[in-house]
Amino acid sequence: MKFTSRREFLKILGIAGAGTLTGLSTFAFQNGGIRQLTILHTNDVHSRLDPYPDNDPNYPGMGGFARRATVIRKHRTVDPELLLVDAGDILQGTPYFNMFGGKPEFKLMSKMKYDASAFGNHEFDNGLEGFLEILPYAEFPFLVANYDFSQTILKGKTRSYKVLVKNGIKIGLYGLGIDPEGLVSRNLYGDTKYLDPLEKARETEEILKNQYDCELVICLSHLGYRFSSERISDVVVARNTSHTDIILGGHTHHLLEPPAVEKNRQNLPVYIGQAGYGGVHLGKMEVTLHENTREKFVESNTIKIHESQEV
Amino acid sequence: MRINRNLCLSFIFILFAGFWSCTPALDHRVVEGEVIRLDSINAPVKDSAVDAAIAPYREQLEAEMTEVLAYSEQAMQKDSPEGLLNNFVADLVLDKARELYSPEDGKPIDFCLLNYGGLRTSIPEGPVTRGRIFELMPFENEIVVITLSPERTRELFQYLAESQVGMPVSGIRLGIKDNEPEIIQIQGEPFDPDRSYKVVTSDYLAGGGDRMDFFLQPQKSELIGLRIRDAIIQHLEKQHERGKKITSQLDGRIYYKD
Repeated sequence: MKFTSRREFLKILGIAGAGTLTGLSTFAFQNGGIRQLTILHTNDVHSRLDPYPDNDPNYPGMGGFARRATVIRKHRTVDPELLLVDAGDILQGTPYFNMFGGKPEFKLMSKMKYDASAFGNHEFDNGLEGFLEILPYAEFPFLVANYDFSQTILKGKTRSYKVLVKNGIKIGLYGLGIDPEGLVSRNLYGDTKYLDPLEKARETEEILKNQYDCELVICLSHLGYRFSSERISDVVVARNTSHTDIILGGHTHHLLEPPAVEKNRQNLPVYIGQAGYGGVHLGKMEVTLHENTREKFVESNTIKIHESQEV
Repeated sequence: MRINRNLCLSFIFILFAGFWSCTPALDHRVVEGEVIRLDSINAPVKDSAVDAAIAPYREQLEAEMTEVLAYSEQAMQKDSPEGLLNNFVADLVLDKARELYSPEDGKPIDFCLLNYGGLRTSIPEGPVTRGRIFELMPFENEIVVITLSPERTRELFQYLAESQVGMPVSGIRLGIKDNEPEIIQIQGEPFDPDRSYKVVTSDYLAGGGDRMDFFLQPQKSELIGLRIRDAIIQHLEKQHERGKKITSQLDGRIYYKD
């Protein structure tokens, strides 16, 4: 059966749970019923600590960490356990990075209580040493399943995945990074080994789904939303995995509103979010889990894809 | 009517749900998404704690950016086929790269080629701040030494001869006639079609930026380990330490032959 919207669906649930139908409804939702989670995500913030200048042609006075913190705090009053993540390229782009090497970015993201971040190509910009130097200021893990840092000074400093429980939902987060070759100077990424993202995605989602019994598997990706070539992207990952529910991406600076939807190997929808760049936007997803049914529903309109670029 | 329809739907739903509940580990997920624009409407107030945490960095940055690194003898603008700013930046990048470059084969860098579009503002006469250099060169481009075959070097000069704008160069002299490189001198010597050349440029151009395709098949590519902006800043600081103003001149390194 199909509902035309989530609102209608919830209205029906409301009726089902009321009055004379109580007995039936407890039968239907005996495993806890509805659980909800708010996800907030950023990507490619590029050291934009302050808002854009007031004379900026595109985003006058917009963005900035302090504005973002206000909106995050507002959401935390509704959902105190909300998931807050970044999809990489936190660093580089303003003189703040050149002067302080990313320390204030990591400190402030910790203050906002980020849960995890992907590892963007610009995270390499001050070399592995530069990243290691500021890493102690990040009170959140960097997730990247397809970078092998074992031969570098970053050995053991990043993780492939993280499992956490929020609002009673067991969530598996994993990260994917882009091929640094040709994008980053070799002397910066050193002996970092780039592994096939799709292979690592399948391997990691399998662990999260079957070993950890995660109910929600989320990929933090810095691969890029999609490319005209065969190059691996979020769309490719979405179509070729089986347990990944949501991909929160970056790198290509797409503003996906509402999230893009692709079908995975089991023909189930995968939601792909990306929130532009420069911290002008904050991506938001509301996930609702209902027990004992299989289909995923999304209230989806058209996908607005704004100007994008790879940097 | 509406309620009846909903009631009807809910009965059907419950029937389905009840049926499905026999099979374990089935989820019903609803995912809705949007992006929130962080403007003065959605976030009229800035988080004071976060803003306060940024403040010391902001102050330090402002102090740093308003710092005068050196004084300039003249205003420098970019121009075509050559310009004071083109020459200034290309000369200092060549000097700095030659100073830092210690190749296995012992052969020095022959010349420098940068791009006109990469110079984003002018240098004023008088005090030049660090912020001004960030405006001039906002990119993080690295200095790279590319060894080119004689054929690719020839293509490079052909490219310069056809270029509509004055690419910053140093270490060469180029006379252009009818979009053809008629006179080519490298380090005072005529172009030798039997040897390869070492060109210092930015990693952006080395990657084929500005359609400089001749860089895409290098015999060798070596990073110096210095960004162009840092090379400029170091040059200014050095001149200032020596009590000198920065200066540039036009010397006809690229010219049109009648």
